[in-house]
Amino acid sequence: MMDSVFLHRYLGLPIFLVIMWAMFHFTFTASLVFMAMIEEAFAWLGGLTSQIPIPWLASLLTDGIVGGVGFIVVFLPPILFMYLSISVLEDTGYLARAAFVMDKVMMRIGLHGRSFIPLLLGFGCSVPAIMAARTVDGESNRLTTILVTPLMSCAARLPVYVLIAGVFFPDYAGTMVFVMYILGIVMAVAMALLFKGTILQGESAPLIMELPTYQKPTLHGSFRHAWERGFLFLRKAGTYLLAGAIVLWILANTGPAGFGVDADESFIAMIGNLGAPLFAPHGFPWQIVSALIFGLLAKEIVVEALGIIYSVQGEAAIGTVLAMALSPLSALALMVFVLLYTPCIATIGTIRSETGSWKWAGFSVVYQVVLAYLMSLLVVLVGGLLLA
Amino acid sequence: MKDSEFTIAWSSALLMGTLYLVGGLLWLAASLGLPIPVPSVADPMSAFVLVIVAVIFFSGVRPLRKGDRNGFGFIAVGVLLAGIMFGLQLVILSTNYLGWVLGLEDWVSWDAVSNLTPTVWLFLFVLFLFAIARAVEGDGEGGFTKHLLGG
Repeated sequence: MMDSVFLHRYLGLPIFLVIMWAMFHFTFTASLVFMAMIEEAFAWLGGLTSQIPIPWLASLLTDGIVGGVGFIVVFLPPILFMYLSISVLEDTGYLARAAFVMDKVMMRIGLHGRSFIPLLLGFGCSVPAIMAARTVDGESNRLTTILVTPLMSCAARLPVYVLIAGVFFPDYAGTMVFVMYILGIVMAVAMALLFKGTILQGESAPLIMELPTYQKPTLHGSFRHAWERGFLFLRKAGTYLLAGAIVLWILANTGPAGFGVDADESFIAMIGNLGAPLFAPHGFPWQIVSALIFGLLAKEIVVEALGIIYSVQGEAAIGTVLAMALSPLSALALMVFVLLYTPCIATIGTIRSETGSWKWAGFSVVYQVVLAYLMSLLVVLVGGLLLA
Repeated sequence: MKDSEFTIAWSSALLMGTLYLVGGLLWLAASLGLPIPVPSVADPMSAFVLVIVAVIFFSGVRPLRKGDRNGFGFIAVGVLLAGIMFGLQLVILSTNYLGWVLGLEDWVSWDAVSNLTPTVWLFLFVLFLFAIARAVEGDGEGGFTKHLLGG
């Protein structure tokens, strides 16, 4: 009986959107206290490491490791809460119904129904989502799915949204995060439509799937799933992101003049300044551009890099410098850019292995960067016109 | 099922829908800065969500008036969504309380009233209506709860 409502012709989609919005609103709002607690813990740790009498070691530990990795670990609570919510939705059997609801929308615009399942997985991580596209029938449908899946907002982008939305749109932060996820779906559908109409033409087929029965989610199962994903995030923070933090710290403290230079004269500034003119219309300073360039490796690095480049610790401190560096419109453009450009190097590798071609992997990177650039520019231009 | 049972069901759906519609519109108006005495923080998106819940309740009225049992599904989903939002808001309230207890900087001036949004008190009305419907119809075989759960 409930399926007649959840899968309702007109109400199915609004119900799906309400559930999605509730999930992100809850994820953002409920995690704030825990983020503040972790931040206080790292602030205390940073206070200790800054007392080390060897200046370079104190700087490495305080600005590089505590300021970089510590800052990214602050975003563990929203990631845990988001995975907890997704896990509950999956366990109840609603997620399969969401795929069914979206299938109707996708079929109406000529896309393959089965494509939405990999897209839904993309909310977690793009890599398994792209692999899940193997279930999509037809080469053109599969390629289309692979190409648009990275546009779905993965969990690694969440720290950037939480940071920017919290600083620039504090009253509507949860809603702003929700808007980013919806924009990701809209852009994925729009690009799929474009690809299917141009370079990847092919037949579409309806989704045939057996809907699971509704189940009561178990606390143990949901928490275990959330913790497993959270642990992966912590392991990433302790390995790749730690290595990234050290490299970023070295680049931010060395320059042509040697070690210990100001950030403005460092190698990281040189890298950022290479791209800065391109992003001048967006209102992004070189620090943001550097963070975005390094974010090509992994999206968590964007937030980590901001902490290291600005040499500040904690969300409040980085919020203050960001508020001075960006206008709210540029901040929104930054969120859109992060949403749409290539998620990480692992995604590029997965596209290469799944398509068996560097051509498609390269195309994926180029189209996403161009799309991200144009859409974020559009935000600045249209927003500027509206505000004027 | 007797006609009177359907009458109780569609009347409940209509009442719940009206409550959420009025609550949602008032909250929306307050969020947009209109001088409406709704005790809550500005949040147009949450207010809009209440309106959608109202539409779900209203959608159940017509089939129930025709004696179609599928109408119970709309009440069930409406109550479920309202309950989810209520539950999540309570979790948010609890975490904010934790921040206040721990004396975290951003929570020093926090007060519980700011988290008692229409999402919370509207659901209390729904529970009240639900309890009345159950009391009138009973909760045995063919009772209100059984209908909602598709039994």
